[in-house]
Amino acid sequence: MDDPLKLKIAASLDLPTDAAADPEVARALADDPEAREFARGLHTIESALRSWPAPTRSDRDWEAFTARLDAKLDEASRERAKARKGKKVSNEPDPAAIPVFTDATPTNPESKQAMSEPQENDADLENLAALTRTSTVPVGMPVASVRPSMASITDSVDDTSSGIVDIKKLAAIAREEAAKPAPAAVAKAPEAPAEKPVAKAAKTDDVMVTPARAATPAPTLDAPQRKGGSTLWGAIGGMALMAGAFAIYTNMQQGPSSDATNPAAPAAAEAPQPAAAPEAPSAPSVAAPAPAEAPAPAEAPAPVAAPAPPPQAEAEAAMAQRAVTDTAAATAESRHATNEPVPQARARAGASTPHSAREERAAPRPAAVEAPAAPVAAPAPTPAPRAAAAPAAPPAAGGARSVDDLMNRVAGANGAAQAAAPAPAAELPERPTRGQITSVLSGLNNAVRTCTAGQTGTAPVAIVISNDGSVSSANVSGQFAGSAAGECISGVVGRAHFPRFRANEVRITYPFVILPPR
Amino acid sequence: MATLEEQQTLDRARNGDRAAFGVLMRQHQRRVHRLALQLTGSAGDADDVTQETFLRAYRAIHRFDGRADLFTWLYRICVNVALNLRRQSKRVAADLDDPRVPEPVDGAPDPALTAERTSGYRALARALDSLSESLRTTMVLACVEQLPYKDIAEVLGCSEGTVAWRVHEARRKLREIIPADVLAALEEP
Repeated sequence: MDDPLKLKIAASLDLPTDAAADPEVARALADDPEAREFARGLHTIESALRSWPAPTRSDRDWEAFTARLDAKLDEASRERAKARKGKKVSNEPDPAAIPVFTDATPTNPESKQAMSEPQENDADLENLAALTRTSTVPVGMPVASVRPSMASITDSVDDTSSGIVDIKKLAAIAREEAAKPAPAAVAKAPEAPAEKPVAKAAKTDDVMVTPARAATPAPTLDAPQRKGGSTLWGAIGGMALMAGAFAIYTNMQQGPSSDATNPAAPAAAEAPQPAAAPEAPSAPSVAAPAPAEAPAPAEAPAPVAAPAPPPQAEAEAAMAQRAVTDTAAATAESRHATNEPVPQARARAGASTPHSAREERAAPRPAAVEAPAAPVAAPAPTPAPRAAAAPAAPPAAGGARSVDDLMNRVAGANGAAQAAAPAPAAELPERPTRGQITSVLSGLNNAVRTCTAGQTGTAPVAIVISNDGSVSSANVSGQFAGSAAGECISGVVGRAHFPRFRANEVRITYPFVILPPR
Repeated sequence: MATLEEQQTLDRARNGDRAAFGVLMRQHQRRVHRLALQLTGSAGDADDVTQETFLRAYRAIHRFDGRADLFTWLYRICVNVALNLRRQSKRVAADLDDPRVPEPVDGAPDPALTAERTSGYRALARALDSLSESLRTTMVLACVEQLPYKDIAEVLGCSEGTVAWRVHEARRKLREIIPADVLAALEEP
């Protein structure tokens, strides 16, 4: 094993039992006996350090020691009094100065600890993303510009050492991108994250959030007041625009991630047969990329990037064009989506299975596909691999002039859409990000701990996530394999639900590291 | 967070009340001594370090602004004194009289006190001594004293990220240093 992997395994001891470990660590612990032995040794050392018996000293000895110390303090007190009388100023250095170590320390240890604090970063990003969802997008804000900005910014700020993002640079890039034709740029954007593993996708998410605050051309509301146009006001205005754009983008791709109680519900919105994933070649809506990938959903290794099929780019371009046309409508749409009552959505979707209001919000999104209503109409409770494409929808084609139009059409025509809707497939990420996976699995904390009933150790779980967000399988290996605790953990994980994504499925191995309570 | 009574005692101490400082000293002396013992590996040095820590703290108590917990301030002073002493003396405790190593107790109901486990701790103490100053100090604070990274960062005047990195690196190195038989001895039955 190389040192970086050993360091990652060492870092995993700090994670709570339910936290998602680095995928590389998870794989190593699941597949490599040497790694498991290394981890076991780390646990032993950690446990020994924490339970190190404190040396005992009798009370009598302590009293003697305290008496000596008191005497020293009294002497110091007298000296202080003398010094004050003599009005002497103490020149003693501060004894509580920051300790200086003589050994060489890494010049930038924070860069190395990035892996040890990914949940924090991700948590911060999630919070930031949540803030942007409530932002207002000024009229005229080109939503599509967010993605091309992200693509280029990703390349330029792919720096794990500092994590510092130059807002001015982002603002400049956003302004440049806004001036470019959106379709071509949008077509490129999804491919960038598609080529990276889940761990890297988290970085894309990092960048995706930041540009939401980056500057685009200042909103019309503010700009006139600052015709002198300081960079600061431009950046602030641009950040507000980007935040709103990102809010729309996020809402549009938000899936039924919160529905842990009805994981199958979102599935109903999508074709059970990957090959039957409705495709509307002529529709400007984003065609499902999944059909091209459908043939072997079970074989898709996770996390692996599936190549984006060519038709998608064209469909995405069309989608981007529609998104650009009416930003105000998009804002209204996002509000509409969040406020839509469940019964109304259910009626429109024609679904018979109850689902969460949050899923309903997703329902009226533009359908990614048009055609075969048959496979789409049938709710599919089982998490079979399916296309990421949305259920059938009326032609969202050329006539769609706003996101609202698209949503209304889909809502009206989608008889099968149950909850989680079909956001256009191209708007879905290729796979869930590391942060999303972490967020979901972290919610299993108490349940996993309950399963192990006080036992400690590592429980690697091989998880297969279908693109509707449900868990196809969860197999526990390691020390809990075949045990009641392992079965319990498998059941807990099996009920988890993740955000939807484009790839057929994602396979991860996630080790629950169960330590003794601190 | 300090209670009201502790805060009042601290305020009096900062105003020069010798008796109030004595109260604080009694509250914290054992934990400071435990830290000093781990950092120096010598009972005599630990006493000296503890004594010097409180003397310096008494003389500088007026500088303590109260933003952090008092014990983190005392710990920082202790770390500084221990580092200086260790650098000056260049002495490493002999295995046989290392006060950090728990004494084996024959027939003890607690298996942790078996001779085998004692030898494991002796090896662990040696392994800790082999670490660099920064790694050893951080590891002691994190795993032996079991301070949260936030408090360690306060003591050492660095970021939590740096603390985390040092702990991870120290773990890795300890794991590589400590042989399998020692690990077996340290394993809890």
